[in-house]
Amino acid sequence: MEARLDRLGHARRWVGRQAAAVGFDEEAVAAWQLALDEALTNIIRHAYEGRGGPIRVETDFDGERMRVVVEDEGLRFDLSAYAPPDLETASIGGYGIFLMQRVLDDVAYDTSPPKGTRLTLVKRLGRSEAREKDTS
Amino acid sequence: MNVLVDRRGAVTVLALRGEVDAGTVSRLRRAVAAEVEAGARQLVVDLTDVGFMDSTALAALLGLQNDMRLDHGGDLRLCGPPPQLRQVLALTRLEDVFAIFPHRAAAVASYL
Repeated sequence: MEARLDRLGHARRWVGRQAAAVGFDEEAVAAWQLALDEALTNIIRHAYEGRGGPIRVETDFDGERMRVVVEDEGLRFDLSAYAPPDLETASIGGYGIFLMQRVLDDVAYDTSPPKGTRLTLVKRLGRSEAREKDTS
Repeated sequence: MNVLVDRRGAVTVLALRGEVDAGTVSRLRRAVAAEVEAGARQLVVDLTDVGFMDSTALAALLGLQNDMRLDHGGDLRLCGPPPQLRQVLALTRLEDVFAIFPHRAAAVASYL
């Protein structure tokens, strides 16, 4: 997809369909949509600084965990420069990565590709979701 | 995302309909600016029909609330957040920062 803010809704709907198809419940689907939205917003604003660029998003499911990999070719993300928000003090901004980490099981940044950053998002099916999937 | 304005005496309700993200949040900002320009000081943002809201949108609401309180001697209160938004508010602990009401009537009445 192109790194444009007007593509965020399309991306949310896409990941929502993927998550629902493998058995995530409504709350987990919403979690996926929020996480991908936050990830893409960061790429659009910070990796590409609003100038646009390509973003590749892929997903796979191993029967237990869904993984979404997001790759860009923009400015590399510097995790060492990230500090989680101080929840005792309301701040304007800085919640994107924090929210991804809270609603997913794993959020991993990889800056080893030749260009840009590879972000891997993982969430496991909950026990009740897995049971429902097994009996369907 | 659409913004529907409902003026109830001294209280102005901005009802958001749709999804509020980094791409659409400017519509909210413009709507608030227009109402403030017209003299509104007691605002309610009705989130009942918001299907999605991310941290950019929440940050915008926080900024608008701060502006209303600090620059205009007014306030901005929220009502009707759906479950997805309630979760985000809880995770960020911003539910303690905003005045949030279950529905529009309660939010409007809070100004009386």
